[in-house]
Amino acid sequence: MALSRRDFLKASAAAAALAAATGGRLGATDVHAAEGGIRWGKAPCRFCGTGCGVLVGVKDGRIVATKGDPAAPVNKGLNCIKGYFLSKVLYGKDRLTKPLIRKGNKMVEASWDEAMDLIASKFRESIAKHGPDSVAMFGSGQWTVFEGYAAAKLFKAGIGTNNIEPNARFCMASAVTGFMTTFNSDEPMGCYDDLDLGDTYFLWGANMAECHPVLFSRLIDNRLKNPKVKIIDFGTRFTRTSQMADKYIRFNPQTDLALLNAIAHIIVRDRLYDENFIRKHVVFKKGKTNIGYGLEDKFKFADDPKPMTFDEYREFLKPYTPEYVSKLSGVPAKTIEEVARLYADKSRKVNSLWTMGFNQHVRGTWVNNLVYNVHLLTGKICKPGENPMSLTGQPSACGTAREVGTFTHRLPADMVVMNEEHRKKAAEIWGVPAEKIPAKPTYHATEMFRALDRGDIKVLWVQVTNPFQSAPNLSRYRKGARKGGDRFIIVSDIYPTRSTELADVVLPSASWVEKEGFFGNAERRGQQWFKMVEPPGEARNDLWQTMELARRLGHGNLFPYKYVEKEMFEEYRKFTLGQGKDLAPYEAYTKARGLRWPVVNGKETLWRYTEGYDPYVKAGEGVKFYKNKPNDYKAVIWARPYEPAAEAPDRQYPFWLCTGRVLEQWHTGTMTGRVPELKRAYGGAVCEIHPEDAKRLKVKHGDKVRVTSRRGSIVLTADLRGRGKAEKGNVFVAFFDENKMINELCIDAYCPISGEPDYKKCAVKLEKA
Amino acid sequence: MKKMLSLAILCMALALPLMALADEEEVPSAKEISEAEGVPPVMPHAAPPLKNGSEEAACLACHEEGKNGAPQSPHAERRACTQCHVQGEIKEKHKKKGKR
Repeated sequence: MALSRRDFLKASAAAAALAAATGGRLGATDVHAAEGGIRWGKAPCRFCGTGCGVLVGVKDGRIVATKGDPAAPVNKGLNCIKGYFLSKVLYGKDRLTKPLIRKGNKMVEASWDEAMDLIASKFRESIAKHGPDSVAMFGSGQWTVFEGYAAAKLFKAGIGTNNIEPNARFCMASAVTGFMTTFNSDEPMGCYDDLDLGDTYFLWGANMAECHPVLFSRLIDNRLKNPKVKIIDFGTRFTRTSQMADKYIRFNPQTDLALLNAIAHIIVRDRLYDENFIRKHVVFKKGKTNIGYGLEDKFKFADDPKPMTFDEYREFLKPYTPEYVSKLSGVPAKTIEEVARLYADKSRKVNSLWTMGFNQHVRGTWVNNLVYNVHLLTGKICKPGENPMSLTGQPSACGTAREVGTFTHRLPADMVVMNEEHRKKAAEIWGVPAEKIPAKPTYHATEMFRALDRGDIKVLWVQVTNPFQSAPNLSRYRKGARKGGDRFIIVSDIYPTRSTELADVVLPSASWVEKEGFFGNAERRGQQWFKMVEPPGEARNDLWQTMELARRLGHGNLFPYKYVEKEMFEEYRKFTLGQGKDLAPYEAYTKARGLRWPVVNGKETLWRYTEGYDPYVKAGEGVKFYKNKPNDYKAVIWARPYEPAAEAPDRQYPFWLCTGRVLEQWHTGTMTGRVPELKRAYGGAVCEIHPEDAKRLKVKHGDKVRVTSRRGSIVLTADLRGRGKAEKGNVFVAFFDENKMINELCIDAYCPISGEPDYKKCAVKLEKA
Repeated sequence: MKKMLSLAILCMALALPLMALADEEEVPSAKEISEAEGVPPVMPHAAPPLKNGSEEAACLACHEEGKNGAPQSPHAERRACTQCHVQGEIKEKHKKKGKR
């Protein structure tokens, strides 16, 4: 079939103009082909944890175009609207291009030398006066692997403090503790192929249509091809996802815990479980109950796991009858029965998908455990097309924050500072004495900002994130940051933000393809890219910034590399080999459109713990949870009860407040807010209210309404017919808007096991403003 | 926009031949591709009221076949329309249609 060049171009123009990602030769084979002065390179998208592949077109040192990479298995050429505007996110008018130092109320331009000298002197002073635990780094799931690795190494092996945390603590820490407590190894067994291969999808607290659009379109594609496919959306708010789902099941906030136990109750009661799978692969445990909410400073919690029998577990489930849970959750008992049967239906390939509704939850670890329970009871796990899958919101929350281990308690490859063997191994690879790495974790993110407020932390360096907009109970921590004394705050970013405005030094950073990078997405896929353009002005890579501080503090020996990224990666890779977390040599990632670990003998792993897919599982073993040595290589079913939220509506504050994202704006909007088309499409945060509640308050669509919690108060425009529809007694506000910081209202209660705050539930009142 | 429309129809007609492109020797220039691979057009009208509770049904009511002067979608098999096509400036002539 012949096609002239002209025809192709016309067709391509039309197709693209109407958002078709057609995909041509270019990109499929030779991504670095240069033609017409434009050079194309591959990179993962800068935004969410999906990890879409994009092709980046560069001309005269500037990104002139981006498009979905047809050769990328994640997105197969498709992007969401944020991805289509990637070429614009780096070119906002107010890009930071010079270091700035605070002189009174003014930020004054300075040289890199001056800025780094000042930072190094503040670090030295504070460490000498108050010890290494008085300095801290707050990083990000948007850190490249190199940036996170360098920061962790400098703080843990150089400065000698565990004061390092990522914003990922606000985002998926509960997913990590869920994985660790159930499987003793972080990250999913399944992968995105399950979105194409399954036929039954339960979404829990995940507005995939807006927050993981490309993955959602894979689900929708699957349904279009296979009429058996059912998508069931459990939510506390009717979203675009609910709209496209086959069934929307509304439940009262926090009762997901009870619902999952009711589903397990029915499965056990009616013997719908997979007895063989349970006998071979599962143990039962219980932990502490009434575990608190972390509202007090220096709150501490340690679980006390106890083994139990299947019969004891059956007893534990007894109270969670469909009738009881129906009263609690507002879901009809009949629906709960139906859902349990769907989960257990042997002719169905069942998947559960979740995001922040589960993770940002005062019982986040528990609710993660509970969804695994259902999959373990039914044996619907570790099989192509049948898996529980935790989705992530940042491009390298998995690759950097979790795998490199940039949390206070973690080391690379699932190791922890509390374990002597782990410290020894890390110290050996890092070339430092084992005593150098402190054995005690210090502060998780919320506690870190509390410590800054109290004055226990003096010097804080923030990279690639915007905590003074994104932390919960924000007013306290914003005030704390500017309390003076010995406090000194450094913020590295690419634009002025609500965090740079509180800084003593602002450092202009390079972003995305202005540097060489490596991200790891939600399906264990590591993706590398090369630097394609120079950063503007004097902006520099965060990796360089960290190593420069190291050099000035006398820790330059930690970074003895020539080709920094490659050599650092090969060093980091040593942690992963033989651990079931094996990464490929750096070179392999420069060519591939990502590889899913463990990568053994050049082969990636689609399904972990599964014979025939995972090289760590021997022939005849079928499924083996080989990372869970303490539990005899079995996964744990946890008896975790329903416990109420930290703050529930009452007479004074009668509404639930839930916060989250919208399609067009990402996180705190610092990048997407600079793209006029995205700003126009969704420019400011609004307050979604149920029409009946609004009527009672005499509020009409478009009226101003004051939203007040015990912690803060803001005025927003009421939205009664937006894309998301609040349920009665609930309101929803997106958190991206830097002029309407809803997080001032959020409570800083967190899951005692994961330390992740609950941004989805607190009590507010509404008044017509 | 009219030109785009005719191109869109052409594109539909060429949907099959496009698949065969991988075997073609000719490679379009990067400039041409960058022009071609622009961002998806925004909605110049308010999002229509849902049809049968579904956004896709509402969009595709016109855009599937190009009814009422709407541009025909070259990829009607993609049902999550708003993941790419976001609200743009509402043109005067569209103001009466749909509601926000």
